[in-house]
Parts: sequence; structure tokens; C-alpha cells
Amino acid sequence: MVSMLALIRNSTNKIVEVEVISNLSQSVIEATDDVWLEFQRGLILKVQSTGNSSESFPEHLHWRWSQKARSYEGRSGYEFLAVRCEERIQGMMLLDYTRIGRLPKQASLPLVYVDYLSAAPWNLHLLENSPEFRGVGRLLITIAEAKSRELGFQGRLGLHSLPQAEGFYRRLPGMVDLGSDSQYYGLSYFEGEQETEEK
Amino acid sequence: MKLQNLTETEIRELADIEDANPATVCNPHLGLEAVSLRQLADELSATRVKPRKTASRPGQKAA
Repeated sequence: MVSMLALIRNSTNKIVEVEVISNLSQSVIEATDDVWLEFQRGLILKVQSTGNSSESFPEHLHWRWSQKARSYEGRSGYEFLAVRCEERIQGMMLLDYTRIGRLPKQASLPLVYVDYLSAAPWNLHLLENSPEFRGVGRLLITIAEAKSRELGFQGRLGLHSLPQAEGFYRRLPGMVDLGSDSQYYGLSYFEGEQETEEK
Repeated sequence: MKLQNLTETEIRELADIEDANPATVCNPHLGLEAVSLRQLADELSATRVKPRKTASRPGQKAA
């Protein structure tokens, strides 16, 4: 599936269209992982050359997508998706289609669970870096929601948020904060409500 | 959820929020796969030759 959606180019503040890539192959994931990690290394070297110590670095984590792809290879009910713009992957996520809802009105109903999600490092406020494209997270969640509808899950969506991301998910329309999940390292669980018929 | 029909204004507002709150999602069960920037920085520091000091600048202590 390839569809056209939008991000904001930071340098011009203009909306630009992107491609959505479903069912990412292992080779694409590995190549993207290498590019992302190399970018972060370059950024760190640049900061170190200015005399700053690692103490000033944020704790943003880079997930080794290639390892994840290998561990999920051959398993059904999962899918890696990405958004691409200007020949580069601008963000990736891993969706799990085997989970069920927790909100009372959609308890036990299937949903799309966002297992991992990350924007490319050049799209994050890392160190002194200004993002190239803005809105990657919102776009990926929008795609996950579309996937939920495509599967007949009516837009139901679930995820555990890192503490630094909670402010973002609380502001997403239709997302409900179900609080800290003691079964999941105390991370806050968010669930997107299913669509209701509008009269 | 209602993300499919956001206006451009709403998209820009959410981008502002996302700038300050990266939308990263992870599964902590597989936390060992993660590499933090600090880890990377420390690895790089350990493997490269440190540049010669050209000038010393006394560190400042926070008040």
C-alpha cells in the first residue's frame, strides 16, 4: 500500500507529501537503522568537538530496528511501516494486530497496538539539531489509525508511552490516558477510542 | 480516534507539541536493544584520540 500524506518541512514551514510504506523488508529496516545511527554518531562528534561533555546529551534512545526486525521475522500479526520523503525514511513503527482493548466500551475488542515508533533522528530536537520535518509522530499514529480501520477495528488503537511522550499523546484527539500500567514498567497506557457513527 | 481529517492548523499545533514531547514509543521488554545518545557518546570518546587542549577554561559551578 502506498498513500500520500503530509509532514511539515521545517525550513520553509510548508506542507510536503510523503509516501507510506507497508510491510518493510528486513533489508530496508537494516539500511535505515545504519543511516539513523550514523547520523546520531555524527551529531555527537560535532557536539564533542565543541567541547561539550556527554552530560549535556539528552537520554533519547535509538532503538536498534534491525534487531527488532530479526526478532519479529516470520511472526504473524505484526507489521513494520514507515514514511518516506525525499528518498529517505523519516519515521518507522512496528504495529501489533494481536492485542485487545481495555477501555470499557471497547474492552476485549481487537485493536492496533503501537509497539515501537520513532522519527528519524534528523527530525528530532536532539542536541542543537533542528528537525528537518515536523509532525512525524502524528503522521505515524494517523497511519496506525487508518490501519485499524482497514482491519475492521474501527480506529481502535493502543500504546504505552514513554514519560517524555505523554504530553503529546494526551493532546491527540480521541486518545484516552488510562494511567500507569503496573504490568508494563509503570508506563502510561493510552487507548484511541473507536469511531462512533455520526448522525 | 479522529486523526484522519485534521485541519492544517491542527496539524501544526500537534507538531509544536511533538517538538517538545517526541512521540517515541518503545517496548521496555526489549530495552537492551536500545542505544542512548550518552552511550554512543561514551563509546566514541573511548575509541577516538582526544584532541589536544588548546586553551583551558575554568569550569563554572552552578550557583
